Order: sequence, then structure tokens, then C-alpha cells
Amino acid sequence: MTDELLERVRAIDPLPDGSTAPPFESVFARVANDALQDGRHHGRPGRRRRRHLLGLLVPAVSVAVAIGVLVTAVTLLRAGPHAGNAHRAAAHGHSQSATSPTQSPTTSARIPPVPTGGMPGFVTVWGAGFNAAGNGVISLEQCLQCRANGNETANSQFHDWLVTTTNAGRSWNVSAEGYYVQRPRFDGLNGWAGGLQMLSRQQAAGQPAEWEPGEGVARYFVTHDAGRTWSVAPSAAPNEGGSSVSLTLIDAVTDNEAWAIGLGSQVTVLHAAATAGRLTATPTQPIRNDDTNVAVAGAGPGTAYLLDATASGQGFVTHDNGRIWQRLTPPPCTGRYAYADLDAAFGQTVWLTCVGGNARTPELVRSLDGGHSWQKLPIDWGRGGPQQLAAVNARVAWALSGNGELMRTTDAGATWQPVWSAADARVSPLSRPITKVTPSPLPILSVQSAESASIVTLLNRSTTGRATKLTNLVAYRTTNGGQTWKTEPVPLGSR
Amino acid sequence: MDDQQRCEQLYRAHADQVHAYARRRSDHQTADEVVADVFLIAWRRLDAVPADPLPWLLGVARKTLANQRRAASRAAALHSRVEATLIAANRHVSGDHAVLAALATLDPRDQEVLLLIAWEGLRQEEVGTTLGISRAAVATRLHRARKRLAEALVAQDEPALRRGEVSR
Repeated sequence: MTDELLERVRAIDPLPDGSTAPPFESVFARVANDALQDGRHHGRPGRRRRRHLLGLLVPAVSVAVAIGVLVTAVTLLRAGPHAGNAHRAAAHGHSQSATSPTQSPTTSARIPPVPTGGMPGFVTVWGAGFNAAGNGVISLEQCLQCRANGNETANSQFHDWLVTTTNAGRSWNVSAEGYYVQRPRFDGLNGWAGGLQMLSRQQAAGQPAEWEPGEGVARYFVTHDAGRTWSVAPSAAPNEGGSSVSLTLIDAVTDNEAWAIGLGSQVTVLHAAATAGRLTATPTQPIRNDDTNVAVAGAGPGTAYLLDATASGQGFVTHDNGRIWQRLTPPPCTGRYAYADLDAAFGQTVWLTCVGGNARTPELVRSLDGGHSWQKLPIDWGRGGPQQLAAVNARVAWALSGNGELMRTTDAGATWQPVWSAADARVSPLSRPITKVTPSPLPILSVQSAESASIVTLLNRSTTGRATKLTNLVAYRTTNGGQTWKTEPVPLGSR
Repeated sequence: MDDQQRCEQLYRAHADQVHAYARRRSDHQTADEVVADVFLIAWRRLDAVPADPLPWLLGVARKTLANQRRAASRAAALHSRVEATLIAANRHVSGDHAVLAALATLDPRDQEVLLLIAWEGLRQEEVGTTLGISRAAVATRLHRARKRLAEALVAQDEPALRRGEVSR
């Protein structure tokens, strides 16, 4: 490159004068002090586990906000008798009318309120999945003695649970502790999930030195009983374990078959049949780099679509378990992709969302001929952008926006109807009007069929006056395409 | 010097550069988070921090940023969070749109090599450390980036290049 060209590149540096990092003390000293003041640590802090490990979670810190018992008690004392009454009334289920904060005319009447309850500590939902038979699993974590914003302290205690139901949420059981899963998928008995296994002291002893007790190690999990129990699936993923920059995820599932992307120093496409168990690298790896924006979606026996959105928007398809990958016509996302995801694929139908390059506008794109041609579909994601899209066939799809608006199409994406809104989610009964119910910013959608879907979300309840907050974990479920919803609170109050 | 002092020294010497790297590729809040993450990792792995720490720190920052983008795609509202390198830069740039547009046509990996040299001021071997690739690979990418950048500018009908005033 000539110096002149290099100078022109330098000239467009968005920070020509550099930038200033936060003061050392604000970034470091607090953690150092936490570690030093805590008798268990001297010197370097323990790993901050999940935030860094899967990387999935950092921007999602607003997933859930809850206030610990102590904080709640102090708040109640400060708030005076009214707030206390509200709390007690809530705790005992006293019935008084509640006022919903912002009711959408389109969906509010369909969404019943949630009975009161609440779980202390900082609660996070990592994943949820349901099948049509009413089996379901929710992966959640409670942090006691976390800061109010969820940040870990030296005294923080984490509890990870999988809670499961076999009756569509009428009752729940804790089925496992010590690991969490994301995107659990099981249509029938077999299913898959990606997640973390929290190492016990004994388990850590057998691992590389940098894996410490309490550390989460990226794993794939498999179930053979419709999500009731999960076990670690052997995998050839490039698992960088305790490294804070590793990530491995199950990205797609079809019935008894799983496809996944292992992200490490190089992208690895993985494939497994549930009966075989082990996820192995496919014979041919079409992506020869470490791009991080790669998605895969299984589309039938031996068939999967692959999208390398970072490099060029290049797509591939295989019909023989990953031996041969054919290039697709690049999807028509405007400019370069900032991000893209393969949302669903079956046979010749592929749905994908992309947040694109220079346009910055999220797009929904679909192919009906196996990726030879693509159509942009009209959809208004709102300011929150796309969060999740679940298509069940070529005509019916459910789309959840980042604002918590769930839409559904039955005409192949030509029109979308609002069927659920987080803004309408509310807790009742309360003795005082609710001023604000904040659903978790990130409800989790699980679609079972064209008519059936579930949404799991956290509701943080505030009352007038001083804030009184408790976290309610709620599973909403419809079996009629979103015309009506049932509300199944997950009883976490005793946890 | 104990670990904490060493880490503080490391922070005071390089945090601004790590912050600038992240800031060029994300918003301010994300850049703050990346800096915190990078130096916490450095603290835990002080033994692994090389004598010339900046490329290593930028390599950690790069992966941390990538993880954040990935996280955004999975769980959060995408477009509010995810800003590709040049897209983020685009908002701040008022000047040479021709170069910006030409850069945007490059393969992101080639872009990265170029920007690490032009914006972060790294040498080729340092770029290799940051990206975890060999110096030969850096040279290859840089060569490709040069060629394509010049070609893209020509394609934009850049008179200077067409007149041959800028040699390749």
C-alpha cells in the first residue's frame, strides 16, 4: 500500500485522538477488593463465570433483574406501611384489582395475569423448550449476594437448576442442578442443547489447571426422555474450556439429529444422530476460518444449511451428512451483514434474519427452493429488532421482536398479526396499582407447531412509591395460534 | 511487585489503547465492558501475558467483542447492539467516504489487518499476535487488502488513481 492510501485509511479513523479508558480504580479496584477482603481469595480474583464463558450473555445482562430478600426487606422498611401492605398482600394472595401499565388493544385481552410469587436474588433464565406433548424444561440461575445489577461479588452464591414439567406447566420439578442449557430442543423423546457444566471440586481436579471449581465448561447435552433428564454428550467440538473466549453452541435440531457449530480457533461444523450420541466434525468443513458469525440449521435427514455471514454471506447446503457442501445463491441482505441467523429450515424452505451492513435494517428473508432464490418478506420488527424467529412450515412462522412483541404469519410472511406482547404481561393480584411491570427484556420463545407456542419470561414487579420488586418466572402457552393464552407461573418462591 | 501492582501497571500502560480498539468497533458502553473483561482476563492469566502485551491484549479484546456480538444475535435486539467495524465507524466519519466505501468492499479479515496497522499502529508481527495467525498470513492478507482497496477506489472512479498518481 502506498503511504498515501494508508494515510487516507488513517484519516477515517473514528477516534483520531484515541480514547480514554475508565479509571483503573473503577474497573479493577472493586473486584480486587472483593477478592482481597474475602478470606478465600488472595491475589487474583476467581473467574467470573458465565458472563465471560459462553460470551452469549454479556449484552444480555438485562435478561433479568430481581432484588434479594434482604434488599427487599430494607426497601419495604424504607417504603413505609403501604409498600409493606402491598408486599404482604402479594405474598398471601390477597385479591385486589390490578392495573396494567400499558395494554395493547390487540393482545391484552388474551393474556391473563400472573399470580404473585417471587424468587429472591438475581434470577436469570438461560433457556427454555417445550414440546407438543406438554413436556418442558427451563434453565435458570439464581445468584444470592449478587449486586442489584447482577454483578458478582466475592460472596456470591450461584445456583443453577433445570426445572421440568410433564403437564404443560401445571406442576414443575427441579430435575438437575449444576449446569445450564440454552436452546433446548426436543420434539419427541430425543433432544439436544448447548450449555455449561459447572465443575465441582472433584471434576475440576481432572481438568486443565485453569479450570477452577465453580467454573462453567462449555458442553453439549442430550436428552432421551423429552427433556426430563439431560446428560453431557460427547463431542469433538473445539472446546476451549475455561477460556473466557470460547463458545460452542447447538444451533439446530431436527428430530433425532443435531447440527452444531463449534467456535474456537476455527469454525467446525458438527453433526450427530441422537442414537449415536457423539457430535463429530463433518467430513468436509466448508468454512476455513475463525469467523464467529456462522449459523447452521438442520433441514431433514442428513440435510443442513450453513451460513457464513461474516465473510460474504455465503451459504451452503449438504444432503449427505456434511460430505459435500454446495454453495447457495447469496441471500439478498443489503450490503454486508452485521449479523445473520438461520432461523429454520425444512426441505427446500429456509428462513433467515439478517441485520445488514450498510442498511442496518433487520431483514427477513426466505427461500422456497433450497437457497437458489430468495424473497425478502415484509415485517416490522420495531425498534427492538429481531430476537427470535420460529417457522414451522413454509407458510406459518412466529416472530419475536426485541421489544417483546410476538407476531405470527399464516400466509408465508405476507402479513403478520400481533399475538402476544410483553407489555401486556402483568402480575395480579396486588393491593396497589402496578406502576411498572418489566418483563425480562428477553422472553424466550418455544414453538411446537403452527398452533402451539410457549413463551417463558421473567416479570419484575414494581409497585407505586418505593420500588418493591420480586421476580416471577412465567410460562405462557397457547394452543390456538395465539388467540388465547394460558399463564403457568413457575413456583420459585420457596427456592 | 505483586500481581495487583503488575496489573495496574499493565492497565495504565495499555488500557487506553484497548479502549480505543473496542471503541472503534462498538459503542462506548460496550468498549468499557470490553476493557474490564480484557484486564480481568489478563489479571487471571498474568503468567501468559507476553513481554510485549499490547497485541495479546488486543487479541483478547477482539475475541471478547466477537463474543459480545454473538451474544447480541442470540438473545438481544440485534441492530441496537451489533455494529460491524465499519458500520460503527461510519457514524463518526464525515470525511473520506470513498475510502470508507472501498474498505467496506474488503473481506472483513483483510479489513482487520489493514485497520490494525492504520488505526492501532501495530507492526505486522504484532498483527499476527493479535489475530492469532502467522506473519506470512498477515502479509498475504495485507497484500490482498492493498490490492483490493486500490481496485475498489478505481471502481469508484477515483480520478487520482485512474491518472496513475497513486502507484500500487
